[in-house]
Amino acid sequence: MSLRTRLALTILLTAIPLAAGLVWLRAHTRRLAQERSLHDLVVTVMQAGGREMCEAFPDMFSGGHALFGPGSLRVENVRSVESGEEMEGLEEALQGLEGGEALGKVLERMKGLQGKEGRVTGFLPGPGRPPSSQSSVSFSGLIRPEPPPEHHFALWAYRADLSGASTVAPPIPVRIRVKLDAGDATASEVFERRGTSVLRMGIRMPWADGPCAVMVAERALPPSDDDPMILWGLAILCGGVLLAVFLAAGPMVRRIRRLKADVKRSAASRYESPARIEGRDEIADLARTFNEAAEEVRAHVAAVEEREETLRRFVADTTHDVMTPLTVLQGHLSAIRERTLSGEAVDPAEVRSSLEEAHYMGSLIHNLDAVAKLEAASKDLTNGGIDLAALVVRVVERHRPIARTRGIDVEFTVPEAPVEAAGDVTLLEQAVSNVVHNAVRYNEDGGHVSVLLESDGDRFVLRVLDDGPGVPPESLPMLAERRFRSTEARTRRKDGRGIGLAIAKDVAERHGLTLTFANLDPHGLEARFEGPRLGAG
Amino acid sequence: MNDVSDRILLVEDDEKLGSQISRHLSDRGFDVTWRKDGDAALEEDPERYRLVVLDLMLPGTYGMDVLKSYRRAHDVPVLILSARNETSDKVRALELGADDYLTKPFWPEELVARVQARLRRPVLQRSDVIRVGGLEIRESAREVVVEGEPVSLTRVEFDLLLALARRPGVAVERTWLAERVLDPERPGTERTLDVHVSRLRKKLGACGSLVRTVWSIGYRLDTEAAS
Repeated sequence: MSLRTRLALTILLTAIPLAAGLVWLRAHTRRLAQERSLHDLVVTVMQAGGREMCEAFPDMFSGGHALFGPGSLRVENVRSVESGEEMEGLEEALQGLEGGEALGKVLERMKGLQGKEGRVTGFLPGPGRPPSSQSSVSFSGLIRPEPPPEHHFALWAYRADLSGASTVAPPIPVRIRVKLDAGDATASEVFERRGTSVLRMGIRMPWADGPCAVMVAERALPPSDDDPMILWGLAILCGGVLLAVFLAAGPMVRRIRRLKADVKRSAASRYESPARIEGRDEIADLARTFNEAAEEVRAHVAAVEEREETLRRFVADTTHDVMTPLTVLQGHLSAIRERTLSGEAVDPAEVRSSLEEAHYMGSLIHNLDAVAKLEAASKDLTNGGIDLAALVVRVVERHRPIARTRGIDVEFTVPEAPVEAAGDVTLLEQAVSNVVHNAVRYNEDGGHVSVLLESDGDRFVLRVLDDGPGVPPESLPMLAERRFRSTEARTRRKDGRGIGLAIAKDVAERHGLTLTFANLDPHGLEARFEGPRLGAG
Repeated sequence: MNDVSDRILLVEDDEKLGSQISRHLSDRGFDVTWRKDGDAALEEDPERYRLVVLDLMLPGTYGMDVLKSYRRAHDVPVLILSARNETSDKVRALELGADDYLTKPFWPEELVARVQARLRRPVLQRSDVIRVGGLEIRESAREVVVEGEPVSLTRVEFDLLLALARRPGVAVERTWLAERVLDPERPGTERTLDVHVSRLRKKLGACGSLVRTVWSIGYRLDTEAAS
């Protein structure tokens, strides 16, 4: 769903119940006002002499057609029972009379009308007069101006127990009776009669005795012709708000679209081009946040690419470097097989060389792995406590089998108490292994290699001694100082002391150790790792 | 030298490597049970073995999980085999209770040495009697018996033999021995020590060859005569 649709829907969903509530509230208020108006009217009428009239002629308050105008009393439909002739004389007789005199006249006339068919259907006090006094009732005679419709009402009289005051009074409608029975002072309902809404009210009078203690009044409600106007107003208001939202959302939607296009372009350019930042609002924040995220993605991608490149190079280097010794090994194995097939004795030198090539390959792969780790891990190396005695035993055991084929003894000594150093055990083991491997490899057959771990206070010394030919004195510093590059790892050097020792040196330095070399008397080489013990007491 | 009843559980998925290891260990007198994947390994009761050789890269259950499962209830020694020479793997395996690890490629002798080191019963250094090869050294009585025959040694010779016998098979530095064995009152050097050693060898007769000279280090008392 688009932003605009969502906004419009939200507004409609909010506005429609709100409008409905307003319409209902208005109708309710009107109804309350109408009820109050009818109630006041009936009470006023009854207090202003209606009670006496009603109690005197309850039959005449039993429904019928009532017409009241302001300040007027009309007695109509008064007919002679015998002749059915309308007695117009009554109107004339009342003309010009006022106050109690008029009322007395009416009462007298009505007494005279008893037994005849006819009704008094209502009366009204004069405008502005207090309704309590009979004398305030003014009759302007029985002229018949067309009265405003809201003054049409009909009255029926009932006793306090809701029984009809006269035989002609109809039973009180159920809904009203129930409420009055429950003790309510008023009860109302609205019903339709001949297309007109009629309000019907039952009203308990301020007195509880006599035949006119409860009055039921009916009055036609004016048609609610203004409701469509209200609805139209609301509809126009909603439309206006919708339009305003659409207009206000326009620029926002456009900016979001621009931002989307920017983000797409940025993604396509590997997050090189940033998104435009317009203004200072939330959309600008979004653009800024995206740019920051893009920055991180770029850094991450760069790191991944670098690692990938290192890995790719490592795989290529390893492949290249392993191929040569592997080819030599294949050659040896092939020659051994041919000799065996032709019944010749296997050449021990060839077997030995095969073992050495295999050993060399293993060591080479570990070294290339170490180079890749050292190049990639410019940061901290895995740091843990390394059991140096165990490390020495592992290294010696690794090289013993290959040394044994050449009659070289590889021995070691470690102190009884454990000696620990901090660092990456894989790399440090590879460093020591490289030194031992070199000592074995460049020794004479039947020679010796010894690894001595000694600890003195808070430092340890790990020495690798051999009784091989040693190194020309002028090469010694170079041996110790040579730095390696990854390309050097690939070179299978004639002197061989290159890459392995260079890695050992680099690993030692990264661990805060020193690695030095010295020639031995009368011949041989000593490699010496020296550094701090971990947690030494 | 190995107990024939030494049962070893090998968990290795590679057919060739598995059969090689199995053969090498069997040749050394071990009783090897070989399981080829992690799920089969999980069904084994490690309590029935003296040592487990466990490859980390296994089909089915990963080796670390096998290790975890074994460690839940047992403390049988576990030797890890791994092709990945990663420190984090080693640290994790040791944290999970592995006793040792071996990175591929390795020589068969290397594996056997590692297995034997794990199974070697620790010498009770504080016990009064140390037995190495055909030697019996009674510490408090300061007596040495060679193949049933008591041999009379000087104080220096006895101290020398005792120092070596406390760590049989391990080379001990000459300087260390000289400092602790020779009489500090009398002028003596490492040469003096060598003289004492050659006398000791003679007195020990058939067992004399157990006292081995180690190049550039010092001496070692072997647990068995050199072949």
